[in-house]
Amino acid sequence: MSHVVRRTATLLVSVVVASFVVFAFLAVLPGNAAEVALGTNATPAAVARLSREFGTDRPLLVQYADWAQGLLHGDFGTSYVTHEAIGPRIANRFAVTVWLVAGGMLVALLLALPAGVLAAAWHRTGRGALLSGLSQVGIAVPAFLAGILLVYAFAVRVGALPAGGYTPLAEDPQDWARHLVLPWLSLGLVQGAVLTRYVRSALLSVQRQDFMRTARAKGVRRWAALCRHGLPNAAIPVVTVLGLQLSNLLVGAIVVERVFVIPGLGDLLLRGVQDRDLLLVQGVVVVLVVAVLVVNLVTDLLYRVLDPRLRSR
Amino acid sequence: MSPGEPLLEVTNLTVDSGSARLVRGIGFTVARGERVGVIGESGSGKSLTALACLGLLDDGLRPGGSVRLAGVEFDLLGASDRQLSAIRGKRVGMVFQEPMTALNPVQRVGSQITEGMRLHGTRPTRRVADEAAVELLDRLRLPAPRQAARSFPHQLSGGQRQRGVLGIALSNDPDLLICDEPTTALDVTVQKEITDLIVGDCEERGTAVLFISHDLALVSSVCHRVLVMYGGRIVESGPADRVLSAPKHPYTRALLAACDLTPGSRARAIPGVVPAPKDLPAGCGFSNRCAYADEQCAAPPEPTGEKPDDTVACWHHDALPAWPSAAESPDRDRTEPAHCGKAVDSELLLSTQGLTRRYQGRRTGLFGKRPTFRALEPIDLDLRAGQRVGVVGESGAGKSTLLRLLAGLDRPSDGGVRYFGRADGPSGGAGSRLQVVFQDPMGSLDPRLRVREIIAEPLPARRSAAARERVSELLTAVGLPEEAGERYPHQLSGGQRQRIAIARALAPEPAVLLADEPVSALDVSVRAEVLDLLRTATTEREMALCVISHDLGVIRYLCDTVLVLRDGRLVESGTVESVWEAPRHPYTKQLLGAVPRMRY
Amino acid sequence: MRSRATLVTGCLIVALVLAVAAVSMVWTPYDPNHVDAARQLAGAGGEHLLGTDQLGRDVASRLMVGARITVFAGVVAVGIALLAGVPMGVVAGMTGGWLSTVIMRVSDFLLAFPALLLAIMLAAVYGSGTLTAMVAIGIASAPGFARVSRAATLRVMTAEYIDAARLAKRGRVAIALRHVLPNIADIVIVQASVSFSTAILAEAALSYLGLGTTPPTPSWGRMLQESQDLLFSTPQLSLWPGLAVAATVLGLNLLGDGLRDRVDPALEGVR
Repeated sequence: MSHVVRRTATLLVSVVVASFVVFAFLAVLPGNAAEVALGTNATPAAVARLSREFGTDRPLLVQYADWAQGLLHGDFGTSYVTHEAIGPRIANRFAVTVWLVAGGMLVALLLALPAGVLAAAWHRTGRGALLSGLSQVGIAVPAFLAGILLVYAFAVRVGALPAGGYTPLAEDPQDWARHLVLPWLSLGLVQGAVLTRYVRSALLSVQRQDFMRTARAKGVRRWAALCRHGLPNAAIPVVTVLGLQLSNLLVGAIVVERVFVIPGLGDLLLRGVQDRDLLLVQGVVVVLVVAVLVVNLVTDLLYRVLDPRLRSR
Repeated sequence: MSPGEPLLEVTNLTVDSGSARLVRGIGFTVARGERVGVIGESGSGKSLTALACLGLLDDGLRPGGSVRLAGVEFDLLGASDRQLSAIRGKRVGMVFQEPMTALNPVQRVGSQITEGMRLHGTRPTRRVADEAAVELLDRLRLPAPRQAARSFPHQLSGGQRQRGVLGIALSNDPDLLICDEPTTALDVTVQKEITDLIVGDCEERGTAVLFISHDLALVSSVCHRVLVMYGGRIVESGPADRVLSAPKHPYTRALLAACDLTPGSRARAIPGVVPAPKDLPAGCGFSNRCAYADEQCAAPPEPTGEKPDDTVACWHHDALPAWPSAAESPDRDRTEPAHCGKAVDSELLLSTQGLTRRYQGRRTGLFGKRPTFRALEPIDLDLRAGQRVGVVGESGAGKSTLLRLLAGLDRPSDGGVRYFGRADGPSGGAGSRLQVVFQDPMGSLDPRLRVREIIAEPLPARRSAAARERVSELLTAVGLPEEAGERYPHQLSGGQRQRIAIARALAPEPAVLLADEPVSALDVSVRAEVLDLLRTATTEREMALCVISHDLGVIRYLCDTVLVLRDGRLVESGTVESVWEAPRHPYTKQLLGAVPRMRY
Repeated sequence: MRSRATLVTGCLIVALVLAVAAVSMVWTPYDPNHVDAARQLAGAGGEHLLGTDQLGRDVASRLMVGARITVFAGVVAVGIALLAGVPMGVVAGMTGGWLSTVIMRVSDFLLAFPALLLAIMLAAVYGSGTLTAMVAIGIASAPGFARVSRAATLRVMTAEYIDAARLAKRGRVAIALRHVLPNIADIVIVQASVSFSTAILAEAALSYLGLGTTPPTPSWGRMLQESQDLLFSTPQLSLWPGLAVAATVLGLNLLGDGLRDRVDPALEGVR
């Protein structure tokens, strides 16, 4: 229990530090917000006036405290560029990205668990080599390239699925799914290939452990030993990888959203970068970093649930 | 089944890897209730034999021949996984070497035991099986069996875990128990408990045992009959008493001689090293290391003997001199340097005052205090020139902690070490006048350096001509050819590596040599030569020697004074003879009583 | 045997990419940025080996220069990660105590900033460019090197040959240079080959997003982005750069796997 408390405390500290780093990093941007908003022909006086209005002339820490306080209430500030409130925009987009990532993870798991187990069980045979070869190729294909290939295959050649766009779930669930199938696959196939290799190698190293021989020596059949004794042990290293992969998916989503023109967080972030909309970029980056930190925390806690050797500490 | 039928009958068993034949056609039987020992060094094929019997060989290994079990109509070697699974754990149980890793770390011990019971339907319901598992653990004299059944393996000690493994093997009252080095990883006192348990329980239930070990004395105390394996063949078999008291095969004789660490005599190592399977001589596998070999040995000898279970596979077994022959038994006439054991008034090299080491455990709660435990209670000891001190103790006794403190590799929590009459702390004091020979000859040599560079490391000017000369001198001193200097550690055998470690330690001409379990990672046949080298090298150079070991025989062979440590505390000290003849502390008595002795 | 084949295949692919990158510095079939309005979207074969793009630029030449950008990106990113991460890991592994804790906390913290995110942040501040992107990827990869080299250093430090070196009165720096670095080198090399492929993937992704290599310099990721709109009419334009990225990454991964098996023969066939 104390471990949960300690880890959560660490998470909170990390969140504060991370948000400050993000803030400070973007605040040193050459050309401050007011200059950007007024364009290159602005007079120094106008820039100064606008800076005062934005509050960007105050000391950095004061600005941070102000911003962070807002974050606590879900207030991400108002964009200097579009003059819209940032919080609600992020909230809208966040749901889209979560759907995208969750689906991608699901595809990866559905692919990697059976493929990894089979690749481990067959590791000395041709079938095993074929599976590892395929996963090796899968890893080499970046998600956006997988997306382009999938668009070509299913949208261009077959014409069964849309090449891009998005329909909210509430509007038309069927259309929602049709639009997300290809993005899910492009995220899931690649991460699934990576995961397959981890599942395989975790299982193979577990298979060499003495306790697997003990299990077989008491009369447990080969496959049953793999599932009953191998998988629970292999799950421990795999869970760590799953955490990392979830973070990868979150970031990978940025690119896949661009491929399929999906209005998610990534799309918002890229638009922010394009418009030099600092507050927007800050907001999205903080949300993503916090998501990564939370995923890491959950992984760490899960790790302890799975491994009794760590539980008692 | 007929009463005379053997329980297990192995005929012409072979095991092949892709590149070599590892087990080269062996045959033996185990009768009901009989305990058969398999003796061999690493690479002799003894473990493979056991695994092959149950179809548990690794995927890359192929067995051949036949393995029959009484009451089973098919050959175990050709059988399917389904057929074998019905036999494994039901008719035949198996115990492995490493209790630390033989249990599934994420499953409770009790449920690992009941799994086999429920699988074979002997105790089909969970309630009955759970109860039976607790009873079984109680029978195996595990304190608090109910609690142990609910524990995860990491919560138990090595001996307790091995009882758990034994519980799994015995859960369905098998007819045969196969034990592969079941106590090698355990302390002597625990080893005795476990072997007593195996012998007692199997005697009571009429369970036959196939007991695999490299330890001759242990096998002789457990088994009725022994098989001696070398290079994938059985070279000799027969009743334990006969084989160990009147060995017929030159290998058995050499092995017995190598094990005989009679103090005051010179141990005889078997010349050469155990060859890799692909480098074994074509005929008799031992012929390239055998003193009696001639051209006839180029053809493989068949096991011969008056009875089928008392055989020897050697062309010359009739022509060998009577055992023990002068040429094979330890050299008892060796004269000891005069000062040994009488170094009371010589120069004080090293002395400790209240030397203590405590470790901090992990924090238990968020704001909890860190628990401390004492690895070494305050200890005072003196080491004088020419003295040879042995420190003996089981795991957790604090002997390695003591060595690291003496060597200045660790800082004491309290007290200190005075080196050569000065008290200038662990970092500066010892200098190169103190050197250490470590336990693992692979780990103590940097794999990236050549032997020459390794030996030169403690020398002041490592690249000088003088250093080069010194290295050559040392190589000769430890009995290695000059060319060995250009090699890397992995190109050498275990015994050769330990020689290099000794050469490095000798390089700066230290006054004190510390040795940490110097032979525990080595095979029996090379153990003797390393011990002998340590002994002669230190006496010739009049060095003080401090040896740390769990093996009483090693201490007795090398040292004249002994310290007995237990749980970080010094419980007894004295001259080797006095402690051996009349131990005073109960623990020392227990320790001495637990050492397996050759029954002949 | 399989691991040897893996290693050889990996080496061949990587060598091919390096060779193409080297040749592109002195010779390409055409000027990769020469716009030829008369020869838009020419097919493969003919005068242009792999055809031309929508602006009539020679695809083969652009691919060759793209290889150079790819290699450059990988070298910069891995170089930064290596120079920052390995000393951090070795120091943390050798010293222990508070210094080690601080180093590892910093590197754990950096792990919360995925490479691509860091690159996007840097691009937001300093504008896009190959170098900016690769500095970001390098910083983001450094914790990986720190962790790997710390773990390896910790393992080396428990070896008895380190104790022997201390008894031989070797200083910390001497031990680090003579014993630790040579013994962790192979693990670091494996990590480098893996990071190299990660960096290449990241560069391609960033260029695809328009935040990496800036036009008109051809980069594989950028070529993919430019060709995506033409997927319906001329899909082969996406094929070539896609194939180039995938093959290069595959080659590096095979190389890494082969090396890993060499480093730890016990792992052969496991990964």
